[in-house]
Amino acid sequence: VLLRVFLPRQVSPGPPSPAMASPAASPDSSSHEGPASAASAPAGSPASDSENLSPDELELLAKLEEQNRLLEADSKSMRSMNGSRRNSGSSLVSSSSASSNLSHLEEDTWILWGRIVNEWDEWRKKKEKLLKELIRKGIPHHFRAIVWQLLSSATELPVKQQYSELLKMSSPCEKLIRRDIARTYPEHEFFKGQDSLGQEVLFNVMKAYSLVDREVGYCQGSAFIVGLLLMQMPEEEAFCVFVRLMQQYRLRELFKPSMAELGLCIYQFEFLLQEQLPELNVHFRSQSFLTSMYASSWFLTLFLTTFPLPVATRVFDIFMYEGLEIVFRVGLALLQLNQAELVQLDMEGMSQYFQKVIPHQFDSCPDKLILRAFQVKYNPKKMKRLEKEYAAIKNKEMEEQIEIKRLRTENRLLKQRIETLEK
Amino acid sequence: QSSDFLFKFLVIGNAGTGKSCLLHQFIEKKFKDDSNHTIGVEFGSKIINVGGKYVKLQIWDTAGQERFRSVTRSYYRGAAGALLVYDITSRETYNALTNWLTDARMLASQNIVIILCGNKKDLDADREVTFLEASRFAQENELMFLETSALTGENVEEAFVQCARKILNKIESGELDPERMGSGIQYGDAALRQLRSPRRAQAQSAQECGC
Repeated sequence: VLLRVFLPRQVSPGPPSPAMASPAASPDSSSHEGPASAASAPAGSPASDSENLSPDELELLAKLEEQNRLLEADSKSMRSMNGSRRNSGSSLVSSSSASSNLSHLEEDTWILWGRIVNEWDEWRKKKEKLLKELIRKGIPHHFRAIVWQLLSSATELPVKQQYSELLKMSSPCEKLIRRDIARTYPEHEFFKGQDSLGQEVLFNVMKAYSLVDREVGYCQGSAFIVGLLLMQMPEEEAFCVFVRLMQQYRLRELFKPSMAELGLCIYQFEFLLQEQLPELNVHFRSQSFLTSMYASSWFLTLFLTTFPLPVATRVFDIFMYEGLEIVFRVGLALLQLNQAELVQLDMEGMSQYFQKVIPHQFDSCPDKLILRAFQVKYNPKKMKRLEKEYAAIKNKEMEEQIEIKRLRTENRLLKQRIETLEK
Repeated sequence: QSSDFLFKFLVIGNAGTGKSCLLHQFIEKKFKDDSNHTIGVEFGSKIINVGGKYVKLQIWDTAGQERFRSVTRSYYRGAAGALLVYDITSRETYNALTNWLTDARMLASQNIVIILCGNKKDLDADREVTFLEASRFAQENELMFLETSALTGENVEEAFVQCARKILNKIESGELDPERMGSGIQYGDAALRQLRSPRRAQAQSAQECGC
């Protein structure tokens, strides 16, 4: 059985696949109207267990499986040697180079990914499930730029033609964006220094986006996503991928001025927490430890401000194929793995734990995190139901607000009348 | 180290005014110029000595962008004190103070003790808001006021200490009652010890509360 390692325990028939979503209308028009809700529409997964693989592909996969085992053993021994080693590479494959055995496999991985990129449409249509498994293992560093573009269907976006024009315009958000540029990955080489290329292109992309989507403009948090894209690809391409992520991956809804989608994500996450970790949920409540306190940044920056980049990028790979679901999965996996420690802590202890301990737990073993994430129970239908529930609650709240306003006005008018009558 | 009281503090104000840097300077006595902009909320705590009493400050540092208010509003409840921060080199951040003030008084409590901090005092050459103007604003709105520099550390500790001192004074004069729910004040260690013990026994009732 190939690639068993990362198959979820309950194989669900095709989780939502944002990038499979219908090709949207031209980005500039749809960016004003809001994206199709495609991100949450489950794409039919035709892939069966026996996808059409050639013998050499099968062989490659067997090697990958072997590599996976080696890496796991490798990371275990590293962990025992040095508790909190920080990985310096950007992907697992490129960061583990010790034995020659591994470098052979690295070569094989490259061959495989080279083929995937060249035969993209075919892989997308016929080997979807396998592709998904490979992505869960991590896209090799050098392929990320192209694979992310392919996954988000950002390669031939018409808005790309406007990019240079957009840079000549000025945006009402410029000042806001400027304030955050030096405060986005400040420790990363690429973004260090006021005149660094990194800061310049980050500003350009954020500004250009604020011009094509005036409603969202600029929202704090989004620069971390763009920053990651810029570490992998040139600014025009990063801009296009970001436009797609905003339109097709629920991000635009998250970053709108009302941030209503964040409320929904928190609501859905809370439900999973209550359902799957009831004891921890009770503890959080007894300490007034609100879900949004630790999970807001998970959703808004897709863990890019939580984990070191080698780990966060692995999560991001999966996000590019499977959408926001991975944030729920990783988030719950984190809580599961740390439940025993968390229930011993008070509010302050927990917040410190989330800030200091959790971010570095997977520095040497991101695979463990991914593995646990896919063991989390996640039911897309239930999430859809929760979405409706949440919308109903919000509607009711809004109606009540309107009613309150109406009554207040009425009250004021009556008071005025009394006053005039008394005079 | 043990403490006599625990106060919940907020740090609020527009984006880029230096809220997180003030907090970091207060806790670590260092200027941190290479941290990410805050998404949502972050925390810090420190025990300080105020007139012989040990007070633990539990400080909530919030994201500054307008749209994040929908997220951060829920953290205001039960705050005893707040640093309301603007940037002396940016009139825009000063103009936003009234909104922040309304939020704090409405969502935390009418009695919340607020100190206005004109941060980036070290950038005097780029100043857009004068000391006089801001101190008049503070007076009109019953705020304490200091100009601070998270870079040099000037007046940073003082801001937190003055705010804490005023709360202590209000407790001593009876104006504030630590026993009252939502005061943002707790008694020190005894209360803390109680918090740290697992509360399985109360689990059921806490769940029913649903808040």
